[in-house]
Amino acid sequence: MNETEHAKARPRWGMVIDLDRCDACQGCTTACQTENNIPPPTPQSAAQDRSIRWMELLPNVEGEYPRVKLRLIPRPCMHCDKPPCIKVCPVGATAIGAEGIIAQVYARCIGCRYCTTACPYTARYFNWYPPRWPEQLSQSLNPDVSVRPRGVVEKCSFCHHRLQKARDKAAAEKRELRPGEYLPACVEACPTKAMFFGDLDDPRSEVAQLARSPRSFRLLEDLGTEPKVFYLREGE
Amino acid sequence: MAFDYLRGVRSLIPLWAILAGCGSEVHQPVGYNHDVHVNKLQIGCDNCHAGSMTGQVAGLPTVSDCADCHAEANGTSDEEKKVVEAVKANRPLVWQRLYSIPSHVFFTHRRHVQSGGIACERCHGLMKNQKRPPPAPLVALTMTDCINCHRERGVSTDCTTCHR
Amino acid sequence: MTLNRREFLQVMESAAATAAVGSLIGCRTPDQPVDPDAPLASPPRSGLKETWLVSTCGACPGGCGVRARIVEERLVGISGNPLHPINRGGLCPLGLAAAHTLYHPDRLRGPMRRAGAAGSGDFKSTTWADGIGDVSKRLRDLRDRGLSHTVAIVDGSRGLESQLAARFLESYGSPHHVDGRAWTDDRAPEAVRALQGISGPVSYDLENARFILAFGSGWLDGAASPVGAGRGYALARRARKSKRVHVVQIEPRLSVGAAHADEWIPIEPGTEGVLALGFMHLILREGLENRDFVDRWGTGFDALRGIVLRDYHPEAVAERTGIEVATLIRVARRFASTRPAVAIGDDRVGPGAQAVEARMAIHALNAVVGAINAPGGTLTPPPVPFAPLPATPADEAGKRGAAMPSLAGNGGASGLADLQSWIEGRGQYPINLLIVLGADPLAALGGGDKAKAALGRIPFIVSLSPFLDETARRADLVLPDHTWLERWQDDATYTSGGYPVLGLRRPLLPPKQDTRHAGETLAEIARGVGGATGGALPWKDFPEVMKLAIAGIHQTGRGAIFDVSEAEPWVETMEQSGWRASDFGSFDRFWSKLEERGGWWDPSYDFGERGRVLRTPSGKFEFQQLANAYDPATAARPSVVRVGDGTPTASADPEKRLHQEYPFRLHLYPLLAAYGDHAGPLPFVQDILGKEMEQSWRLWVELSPTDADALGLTDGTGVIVQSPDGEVEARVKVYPGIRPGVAAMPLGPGGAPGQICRRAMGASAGSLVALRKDPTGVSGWGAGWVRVRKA
Repeated sequence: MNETEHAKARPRWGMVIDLDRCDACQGCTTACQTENNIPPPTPQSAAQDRSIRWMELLPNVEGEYPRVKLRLIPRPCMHCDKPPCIKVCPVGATAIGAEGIIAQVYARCIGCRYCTTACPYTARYFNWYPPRWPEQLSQSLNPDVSVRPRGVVEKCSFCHHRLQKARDKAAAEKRELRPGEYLPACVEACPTKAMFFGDLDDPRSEVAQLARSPRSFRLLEDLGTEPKVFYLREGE
Repeated sequence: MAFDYLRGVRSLIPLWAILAGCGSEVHQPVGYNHDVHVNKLQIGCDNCHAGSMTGQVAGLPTVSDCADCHAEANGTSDEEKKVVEAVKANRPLVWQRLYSIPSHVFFTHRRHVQSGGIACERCHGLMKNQKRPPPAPLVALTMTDCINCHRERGVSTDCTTCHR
Repeated sequence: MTLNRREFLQVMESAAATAAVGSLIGCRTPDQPVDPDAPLASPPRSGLKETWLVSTCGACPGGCGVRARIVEERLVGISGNPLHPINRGGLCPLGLAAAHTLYHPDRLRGPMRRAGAAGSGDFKSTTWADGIGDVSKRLRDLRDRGLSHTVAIVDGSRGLESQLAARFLESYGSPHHVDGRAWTDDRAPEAVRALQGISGPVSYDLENARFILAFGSGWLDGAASPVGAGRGYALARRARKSKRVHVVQIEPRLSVGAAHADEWIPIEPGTEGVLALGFMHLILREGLENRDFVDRWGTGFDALRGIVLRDYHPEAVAERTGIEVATLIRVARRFASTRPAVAIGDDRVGPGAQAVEARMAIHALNAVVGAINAPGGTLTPPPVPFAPLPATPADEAGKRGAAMPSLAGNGGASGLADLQSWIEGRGQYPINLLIVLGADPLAALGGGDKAKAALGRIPFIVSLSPFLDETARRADLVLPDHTWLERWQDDATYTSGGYPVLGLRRPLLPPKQDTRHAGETLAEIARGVGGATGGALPWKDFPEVMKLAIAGIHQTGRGAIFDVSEAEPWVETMEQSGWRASDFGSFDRFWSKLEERGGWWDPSYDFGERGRVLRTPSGKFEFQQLANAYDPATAARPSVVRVGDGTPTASADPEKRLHQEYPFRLHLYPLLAAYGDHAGPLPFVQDILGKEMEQSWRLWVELSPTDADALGLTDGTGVIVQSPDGEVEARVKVYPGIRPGVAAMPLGPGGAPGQICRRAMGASAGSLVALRKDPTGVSGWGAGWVRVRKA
């Protein structure tokens, strides 16, 4: 298979989050943290607003009593098609792949934090502390994901290590990747099945169909970042 | 893409190497002779490195693997005596890894050997001719080698293909 | 493919250059204290050995199925079991973070004796033989002295382990089997019992409801099975072909549940019962009630109708509840005219503001619209058909002791309050020895120092907790249990659709510490006591007991081992036509299937079983009971608010005085972390538990902007919240989504000093309220009044 043929067959990974099903339990946040070896947060990290949550529930309170609206939106990395973070990285530590996943290569990152500032979704996190797991807790580390040192930026990877493993398995079995074989940890864990994941370029895929729903919207769409995470608003 | 991040980074920070030992020499418990086992006795790599074809890590033999042939001495070498003693005492032989992969790299032998059909020598050099265990990898691999090979074979060079 | 010499040298050169820079990968730099490969001391032979096992989550009583990913004997991940009918692969943060429970730094290493003062946390380790021998000897001595009835077990466990505790006490000779589950009160069960005559749980068929009228905060974010409720909610919202469910949430605070509702109606706390009757008034006035149910399956409806139509005019209700008349009419009409619709009371465990009578009024709304035992309404799940254990052996001493008057009265969650009041002086004799099983009574009692003092009067306390919780700190001996990830257990529960479910909990890894299964510890203590007690728990281990009981399910041939969801309607159809799943095969095969898939369920519900659902003396729904509760002429009417030192009051005067002193109504709402109380605090959970309020790790109190302004308080101000029962420190969160005059606080577990992963909340808001009984013998937490001042 040559490079062009390969490119055609490549999926464009995207996510859809149905806010009408989401009950804001934050299972996605925890699933992500345990899957991706996020260091356990501490009261100190919380007080300094330095806890790392690749998938974070963002609360938004609007209005005055009694006409108050509380909106709760789970926010992963948007994996923008036009990502502002990449343009500012001086060392090429972050890049968009052919399948649309924004990668972060920790070993290259020099920790300048330009990207955390450039990201309008505040989806990027800086490692302010050396990664520490009290005593035996490090036993629960996921061997599929690296542990990041202090001083680098990290963010949601769409659990691409799961893609690597799924591809590896499919290749060994001499077959194509099956739909649903690769799911990020948050999507898999969602108790209300509010999250969908798949190939946005495949018109038959569930995500592609949902992304075209009249309820569909994206965060800060007018910035032209072209996020690949779509939300479905509440209501009929 | 305006910025060839791969080339750019490599010229900026030429630090990439995928080998172990932190620069110090690796000492093995037994002076194992690959030449005898592979060339003379025609024993395949995966007999002792069980994961070298289909696993993630190639792996190192356990003492019970040695016991298959060395329950009793086959020859007179001092090194073999060590093995036979270990087998009889069921004492593990603690082999040291020569190669290791940094934790932020995803690599499997299955992908490269089984699916990709790459020969062991491409990354490991002529291990089969070694009469003593080498103190360092015969081939020092850098990320450049990975990238070159990926390009040669038309395999994706996205960061996410290997980095995790 | 070989390298020539030149290439080889080139490669070596570049490697040397790299080495000179000193940044060879694989070196541990000081910035990387944790290397994920490090726990694997020797390199694995081929890749990493990976196994997956299914079990049932034990972090809360929700009973979700879990899958554990075990790599090289390390538990590296917990996810949901896709076959489990409660959660179908989804899981909440408590379950997802549970690998941290196994490796928790605060876990007890083995049996310990207390060396310092009670509560000091000063322990020294001992052996199991010494610990069990000591308890057995003390128990034997007490029994020999005819004092077996002065021993009590506080029991927070469920299922067979609880049965073992009951057998132990019965044979040993004590009537004191005290329900020790945290943050429970028995108002909701009591309300259902009064109206329907059943003591079991009621489930709400959220999945099929088209209108949900929720009174209180618990139905979505604090239900008995939060994941199950969330799944039902999501299915009702989007997954069906029929119309999307409409949700109205009634509570003083814009909670997560209210935020997801279509309409939030802030209500004056404590007036939910009045509101329910106000809705009933409108439904009856407009003739929208379900005549069929009311006439055929109700009794005393006319009495209730009389009171409701006379006393609960919309104008009066609007004044008391603070809700506009137009809203009342709109909601009542929609509730009565949408089919199916369900009214949900505050069924969560924990201190709520709803009194029994209010819970009864809310539950009766379901009856008025015919939603009792109906699709999309309330259901009564049948029990899991366990085989009964053989009769407990008893001797004369045992019978005599067991026949003594019980401190637990009628049982239920009032047990802990009973225990406290018994020790405080109500009891006819002291309690000499207390065994604490799967519970933390001190945390569960709230109220702070009084409960501590009461427990301090028991000469010998044995705790079986795997963590040094508040009670364990005061125990004389701690014989730690496994965590739920290392032990066998049966977890019988039900789906929101009313199907009984048995989840199997099994060890995922060998015990990480020197701990023992609590049920087996109890059995060993029993053997040490000897006599009839020695033969009461004759099984060699806990799985043997489980197999004995689960054989009952196998024998019925009903239901199915967990499977993909398509089986559900199929099994139902087949069972209703008299079919029984006979393909279980031998019991051994059945058991191994249970281990493989995670459990058994019976996905069929017989709506025709009225006799099982209405078990009142009349065999009907007792509207009369509700009429009695709200009839001003009935003297026995319990007060809505319980105040002060526990003296109940029906008159308004003391309440008015209290209100002057304590101007804020306390609204306690449950946090997820409260459910994981016994599992040790999990850092990931502590960090996100107040995310919707942008709070974490520290206790906070929510005040409306007007109230905060009046007191000169802003976001983050440190305050002291005081109630007649106690005081706690907290930070102010100014929140417009709260009714003025109300102070809302999350209810999570409190802190214990010396823990590495310390509990988030510091102090617990639970110490502001105290578990106590009302005159009818029902325990509750009281609505509570507080004042707030700057720290």
